[in-house]
Amino acid sequence: MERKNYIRLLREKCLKLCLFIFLSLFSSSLIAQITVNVQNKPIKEVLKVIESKSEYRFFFNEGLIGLDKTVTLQVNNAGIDETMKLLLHNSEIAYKTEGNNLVMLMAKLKDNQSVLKNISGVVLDENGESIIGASVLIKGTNTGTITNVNGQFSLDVSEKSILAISYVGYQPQEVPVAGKNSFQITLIEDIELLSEVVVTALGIKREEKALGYAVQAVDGDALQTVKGVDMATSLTGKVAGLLVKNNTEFAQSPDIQIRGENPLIVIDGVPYGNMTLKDIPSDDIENLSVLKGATASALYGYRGASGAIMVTSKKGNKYKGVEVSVNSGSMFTAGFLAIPELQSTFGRVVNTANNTYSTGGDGSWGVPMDGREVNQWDPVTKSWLLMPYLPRGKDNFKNFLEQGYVLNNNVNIVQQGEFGSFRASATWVNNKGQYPNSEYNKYTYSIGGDMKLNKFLLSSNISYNKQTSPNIGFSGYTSYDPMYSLLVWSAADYDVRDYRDYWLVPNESQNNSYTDSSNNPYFDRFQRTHSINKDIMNGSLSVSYDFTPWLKLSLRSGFDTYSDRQDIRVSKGSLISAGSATLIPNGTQVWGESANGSYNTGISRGYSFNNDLILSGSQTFEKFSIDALFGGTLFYKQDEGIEAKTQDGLTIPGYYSLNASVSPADVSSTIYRRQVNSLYGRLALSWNNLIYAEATLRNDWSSTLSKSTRSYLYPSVSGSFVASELLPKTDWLSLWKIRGSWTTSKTPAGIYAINSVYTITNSAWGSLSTASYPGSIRTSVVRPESSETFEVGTALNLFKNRASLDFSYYSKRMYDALKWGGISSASGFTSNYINTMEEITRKGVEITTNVTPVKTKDWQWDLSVNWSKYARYYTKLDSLYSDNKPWVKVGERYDAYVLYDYLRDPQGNIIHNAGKPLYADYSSRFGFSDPDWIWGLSTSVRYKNLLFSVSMDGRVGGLTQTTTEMYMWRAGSHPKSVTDERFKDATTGGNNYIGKGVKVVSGSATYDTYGNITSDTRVFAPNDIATTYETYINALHKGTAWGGAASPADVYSTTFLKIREMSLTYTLPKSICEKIYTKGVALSAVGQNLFLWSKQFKYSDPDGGYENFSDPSIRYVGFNVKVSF
Amino acid sequence: MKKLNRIILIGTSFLVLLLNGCNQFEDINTNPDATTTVSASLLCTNVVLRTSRFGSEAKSYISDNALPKYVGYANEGQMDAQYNKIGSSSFGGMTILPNIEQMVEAAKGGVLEDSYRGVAKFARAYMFFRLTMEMGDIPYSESGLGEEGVFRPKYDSQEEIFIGILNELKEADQYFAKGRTFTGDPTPYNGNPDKWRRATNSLALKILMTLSKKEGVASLNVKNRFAEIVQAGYLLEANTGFFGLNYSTQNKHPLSGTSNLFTSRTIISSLLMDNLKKLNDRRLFYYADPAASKISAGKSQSDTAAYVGVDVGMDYAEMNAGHSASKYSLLNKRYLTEAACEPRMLLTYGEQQLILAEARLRGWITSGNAEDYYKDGVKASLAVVMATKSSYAHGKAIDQNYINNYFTGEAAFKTTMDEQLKQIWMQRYILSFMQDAQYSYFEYRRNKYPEFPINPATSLNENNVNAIPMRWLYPTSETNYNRENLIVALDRQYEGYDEINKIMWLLK
Repeated sequence: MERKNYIRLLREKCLKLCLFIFLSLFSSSLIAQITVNVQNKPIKEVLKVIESKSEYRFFFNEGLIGLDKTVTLQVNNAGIDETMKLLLHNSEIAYKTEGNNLVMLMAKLKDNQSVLKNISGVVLDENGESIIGASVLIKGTNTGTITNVNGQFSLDVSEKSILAISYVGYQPQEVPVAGKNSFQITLIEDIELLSEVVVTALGIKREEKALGYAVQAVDGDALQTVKGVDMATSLTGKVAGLLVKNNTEFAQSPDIQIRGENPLIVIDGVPYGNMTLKDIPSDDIENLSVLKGATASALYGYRGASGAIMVTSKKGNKYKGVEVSVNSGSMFTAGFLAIPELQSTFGRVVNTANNTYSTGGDGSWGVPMDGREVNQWDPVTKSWLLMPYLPRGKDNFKNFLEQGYVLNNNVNIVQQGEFGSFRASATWVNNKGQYPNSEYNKYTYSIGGDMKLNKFLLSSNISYNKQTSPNIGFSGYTSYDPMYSLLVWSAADYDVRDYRDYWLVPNESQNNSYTDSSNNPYFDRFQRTHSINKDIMNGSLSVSYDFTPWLKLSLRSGFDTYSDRQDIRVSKGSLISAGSATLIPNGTQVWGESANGSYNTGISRGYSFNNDLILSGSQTFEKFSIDALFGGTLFYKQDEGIEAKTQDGLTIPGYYSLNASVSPADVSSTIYRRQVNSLYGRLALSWNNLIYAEATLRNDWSSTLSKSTRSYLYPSVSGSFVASELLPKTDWLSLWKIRGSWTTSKTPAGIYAINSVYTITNSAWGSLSTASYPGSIRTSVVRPESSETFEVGTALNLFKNRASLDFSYYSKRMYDALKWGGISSASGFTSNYINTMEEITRKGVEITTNVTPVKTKDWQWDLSVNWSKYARYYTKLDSLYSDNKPWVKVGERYDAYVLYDYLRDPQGNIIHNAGKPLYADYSSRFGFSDPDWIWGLSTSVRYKNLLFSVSMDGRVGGLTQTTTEMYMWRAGSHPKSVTDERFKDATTGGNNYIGKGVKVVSGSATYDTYGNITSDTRVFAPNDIATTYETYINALHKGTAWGGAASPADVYSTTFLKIREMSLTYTLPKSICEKIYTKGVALSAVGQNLFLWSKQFKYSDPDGGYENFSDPSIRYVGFNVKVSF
Repeated sequence: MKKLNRIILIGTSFLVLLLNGCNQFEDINTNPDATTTVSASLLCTNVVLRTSRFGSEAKSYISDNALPKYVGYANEGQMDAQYNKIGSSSFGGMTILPNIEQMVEAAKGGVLEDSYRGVAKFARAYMFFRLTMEMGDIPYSESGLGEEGVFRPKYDSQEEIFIGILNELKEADQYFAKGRTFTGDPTPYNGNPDKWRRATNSLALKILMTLSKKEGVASLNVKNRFAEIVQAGYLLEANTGFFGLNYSTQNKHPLSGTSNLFTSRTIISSLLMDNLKKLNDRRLFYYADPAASKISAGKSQSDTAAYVGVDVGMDYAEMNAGHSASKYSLLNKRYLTEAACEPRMLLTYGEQQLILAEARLRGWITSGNAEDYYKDGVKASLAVVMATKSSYAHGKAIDQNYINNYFTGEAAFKTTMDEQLKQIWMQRYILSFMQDAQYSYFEYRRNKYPEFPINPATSLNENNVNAIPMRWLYPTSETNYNRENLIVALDRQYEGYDEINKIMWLLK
């Protein structure tokens, strides 16, 4: 084994070992005996000693009388009861153990409180369902209990006592004992309390009803049962206006868009520069809050101009004490939702002169595989043999794929103490892909906690994430995806399984029949590799100090850093290069060298820091309250990279190092830096829970703009009116609010965008280097680009929160856009960097509704549906820089899908020439690329301890090119390409296919520069000229993956419906949990990516939004186990 | 109060920190890996490479050779160029202008200023010449002025452009005459101003010859300009070497090191093949490989009978079938396997002598005699091929003895002017194979010789299936960014319709 590989393996093993130790440490028994020896110390102190020497935790009211009494305690390996009795025997304190390690302290009932009697009762909700865990206290004391699983309680009380009953989400009640022995108490749901609190910009928590803009929250639990590789997948369809495009490529992150733009990711209030949702384990998430518009994230400046996803990570616990949780998910591939297929009737071309099949990857335009004797490559004897020509490789693609899986394991421990909490968490995600030699590992360790000391509040966390893969592979046609040689440019005339032994001469040449063009698929996976090894670390420290109860100063400082090393190795003897992959951010495309072998390496690193200092205050004057803050942010981000490649081959085959370069290795480096300083303020007013108003103002100074334009100011205002406050209280309407907001946001130029610099190419010819002047003009001073968003919405809560409806309408006018405005190349330049006068407005609607049709003690059915749509329109054109096309007009949609259509006669028939379809010389609009609308639906049904959940989502409309199917057609491998005409072409020769349409018999047409016909004397007749089927198909499917427009025949609608996730969870009853010393156990059967229906895509999954040799879409099923101690 | 002071203190220090940060903004936004000042030499290398290098990939190289009927291309979809379909061109070449401008700017005041000014004029003339040859009228007088705010340059007439080009070459000649050896020249001339001067004049002769149909246009003064240049005598000489680039393992020929997919599908046309055979021209063995079926039938690779060209107008399916039966000669393997199979040659002594032969026949010059020029040109062209690796010549290597005895039979200089012109044109056609193939198409437009095979049944030139198209369409981006000027040019030349069979001024 190579030394390097050995080290890599060793390192991975170490990581796995650490995880194992971590897991086993905390799952061991926590109950221990107590050994304490203290002299004359207050009880309070002694309790701390016991806590420090055992796993027991004490809960008591600080004001409990008797805690300061001094005692002496000597116990050795004593049980808790013995210890407590000795400790408290002379005091006025009683105790009670709860669970395994919790001890509650309370005042002993005094003798003068008259005679105690035992009472019992039950606490019910308005439906008559029992409430479990409601607190029943004797008013004025700390004595009390909580209701059991049947809602029942019993308590020793005196006759004069008053019972105080409370439960989260219900109005508290007081009931005098007054002679009764049994009680039935009905709690009324507290509608007000249920008004959700959401996290908004800068981590400010606000009641949802106070907001003037759309925010939607997602609970962390929703992401922790079905755990895929990337948490974002589980977000799909859950939030109105949030579009998640899940690419099927291995280890590729989904593309997340809010209202058509990529949002900022904010973790615990810190807008990190390098963190993505991929780097956060779902088990570490408390909740997510999606801030949909620019108003919502106005305080994040340009980085929040497209909305933000606010991630709140888990910190402490509700209860004091220690809790260990293990959440283990395993999912395995189980079939495909979409997979390309290959026809198995025709093989590759057979040379008629020597009866030998082609060694070039010509696809499968050859003769029928009817058993005739053909000279073929025998991969076993590695020689040419005369063999029957048969469809041996009918299932080559499926045979090549392997069982894949996703293992997602997390173990975490939380300790909640009196003055703070601490949490540590470890996650290991292991993903085996469907191609041979594809594995991806993601490890995350995170620790965090908070501390409260008088007026100080401190919270901090740090997380380390490592992602490795020996080969993430190559995806897309121009990177020579495995499908390139396996599926498209080869035929079913060989069995891929015979080619596992892929060397002909080790490190030199392949055991392969396609010696002119395509790699042996196994060789390709093992000898043309792209490895990654990425570390990401982020940490934050947040301190706040309360000067007075109404004035607070907080400092939040976040830092992240990453380093990544990626290598691409192409063995000598490879027939294809590495293609268009890149190794560092903003790096150059690799391509590499095929025949001689090549080695490319890229090392990148970077960091960002974001520091906020905020002074905030709030005051309430009767019905009027005011909330204000003033703050500043300093954001800095730096990315750097070095990439290098061997040139003219490797000196020793199999020796992958820059030192192996035949000619001097080619090296280049990049560095990108940006700093933005900001000052901002926010003022929020509210009156009588009825009217809320908020305004923000922010000024940025950006390093990427010139001195005169780098400082810029932008405001936002928003308001909310709770109309239901003015209406008479009814049973069915709990909340009705109307909201509105307006904001402007400004985005500065990109890094170096305003710099006019030369491009230097080293050794452009021999030893000579070149300098080229930029192809774009950058003479004018540019301003930041701007947008103005206007949003209105309304929210309704009905039938005591059993139903809710939220509606938003927004309009975002984008102006002053920074654009490389196209100009005639005859000016010497291809573009001019300017603020365009063109304006584009995005208008959209979002609707969310939640319903709980059934809610009884045993049954609950929840249903949540969201629907959204948007479109972009030209609202103003730039006379100089707007495209001069018929579809570029005020009022027209911006996202035109443009291509060169077939030429058609007035009846719409395709016009043929020489038997082939003709294409127009002028482009035209074929449709639109944005989806018409997107939707999501999730529902769950609970019966007692069983919970069944399913979520589905989909998109309607939106065009994209299908690269896979286009090449399946062009290579003759499309299953539908098996036709009689083709059979005749292949067996008897000649031209046998007559395309449906017309031909021009006489006359001609002329066109103006827009492509409009200016004169037309053409006379048409039905097309009667035959071509071969291959020629016709190649002309009909004309596009390429290398750029240029697609053929109309290969542009598909992305409309699809998908069952994204499904789970069936059984939660163990409390009673069983206690017996097995756990706090909670949940077992789930889970599935992800379960079902796909799509309108036009049959052989690939349109979920990724575009289609370029998308890997087969895999169905995952498995199980999940969640245990907490 | 104390608290308030503290807040103010912290607040102010944060503010100071923030605003202090802005001082470094210029540094932060400066890319240390880029530069704003460069030498004329670095820009010169760029300008010369953009003038002389083949700027695209392997398949375009083959396509360029398919348009003038040198080759056919089988089994990967019909090649448009082979079947007479031309698309739109690009003005991308004009983005060389700011580079030329900056090169001159950087050279100003230095001792090499004249040399770089010479290169500037040469490169401008070359670029405008190629573009106007492709499309007709193009922006010339207002081109390259983007930084002065001219984003929509007007189109000049082809006549005005040619006058401009020829004048610029005259200026180039004068600059090189004063010039010193300069740096940054990637061509084999290695900055020698004398050789550049000779190449400049050779280019002028080549351009003037393309204007043979306009020899009577007074403003151009074609004949006199030609004669003056010849008279002055600064032309390419046998030992000057070609203007172009030498390939190497580092700077490979566009076809070398690519997938054999391209080359194994490239078939030599019968037009080229039959003429080589007729001339008993051994370049055949350097250009082609024998047809595999002929070899398996027992023919020797040194036997011309083993070499079969394809009628490139043939039905595509039929050609594919023939290709699959190994019926045709493919492109010689040296183009695939040798990184430096042959240099890229844009101006050669051989071609210049053939141009002089034509000029002599036309009476543009009176010195020398046409036959000598012809023989001189052919010999030099053969010598160029002789210099490549003989191991690929299938046992029929060219040697000096063969060259000396070339002019027999069909190769002997004929007697009538019409035949002589055809001989000259054919020799130019042969020497441009896999070199400046586009130029052979330009020559076809002018001379209609060699006669290209046209098959109306397979022609993709749908508006005129009986003819080879005459021009490229204007860049599609012009309809976006310069429509008004484009329309004026179209109305002036082509009845307002941008179409490939329209005849430009030069060819009228």
